[in-house]
Amino acid sequence: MIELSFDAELYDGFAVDEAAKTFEDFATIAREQLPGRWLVRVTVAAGGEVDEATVASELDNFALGKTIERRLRGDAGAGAAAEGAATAPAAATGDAGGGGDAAR
Amino acid sequence: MDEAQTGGTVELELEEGLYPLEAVYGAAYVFIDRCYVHLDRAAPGRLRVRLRPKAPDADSAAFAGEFENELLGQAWRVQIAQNHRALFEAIASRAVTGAAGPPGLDELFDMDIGADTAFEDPLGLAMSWEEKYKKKAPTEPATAGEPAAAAAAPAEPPAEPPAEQGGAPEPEGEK
Repeated sequence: MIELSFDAELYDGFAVDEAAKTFEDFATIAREQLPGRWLVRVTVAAGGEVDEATVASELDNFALGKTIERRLRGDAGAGAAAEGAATAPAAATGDAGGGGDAAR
Repeated sequence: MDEAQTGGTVELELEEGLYPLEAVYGAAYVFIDRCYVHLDRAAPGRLRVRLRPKAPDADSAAFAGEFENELLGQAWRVQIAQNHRALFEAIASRAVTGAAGPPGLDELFDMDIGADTAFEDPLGLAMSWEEKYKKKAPTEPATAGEPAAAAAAPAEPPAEPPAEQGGAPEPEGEK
């Protein structure tokens, strides 16, 4: 299991959420919200087709890229989005397969 | 800017006052196709960037140098954008206004066009033919200082319809 920690001021909560949903087909992904941080735990079953570290690193990059794209589009800033996502059910339950529009 | 290298990973610590967050985002976005990039906050006002090349045999120190150069360029671009924001907005607003095109009928009906606000017509294009070439009222006699030829000139244009062949025009007094 690899644990990724995202600063809520630097990473958009919705971007982290979308990254987790995008990579849930390759690994078991659990999310947790701490004060000012997002925790994402990536676990690939033994004998899986992909490397756990690679999935975690790609998820990390995906979250950063989505954060930057959202900021360029003029969506809510990283901090504001993190606060907004904290109220969303999918972010609080840690269920990566929750609702929402995941980019696949 | 501090730099530390462990294995294939390079960590950079940046002063946020010198390198704004937008510049760090811009530089990171350039590198996410070649490196795994992670941002974190090392301390209040200091950012930590972790770079790890995707290619196993890549030189992570070289990537760190490229990232620093890119960061400098992005910071300069952010500075330029801030300095010229008013100019950008003026150009964009003018372009949007021009793209709206000429006013439609509804806008023309809503316009307040009267005798005072109508357009000027120095060439008389909007005048009717009769209004433009009608006989002018007799002018006052010339003053003593003007030449006699000017006073004797006819007040109305000499153009008259040509007489039909076979008959001379009748004088007005005989009608």
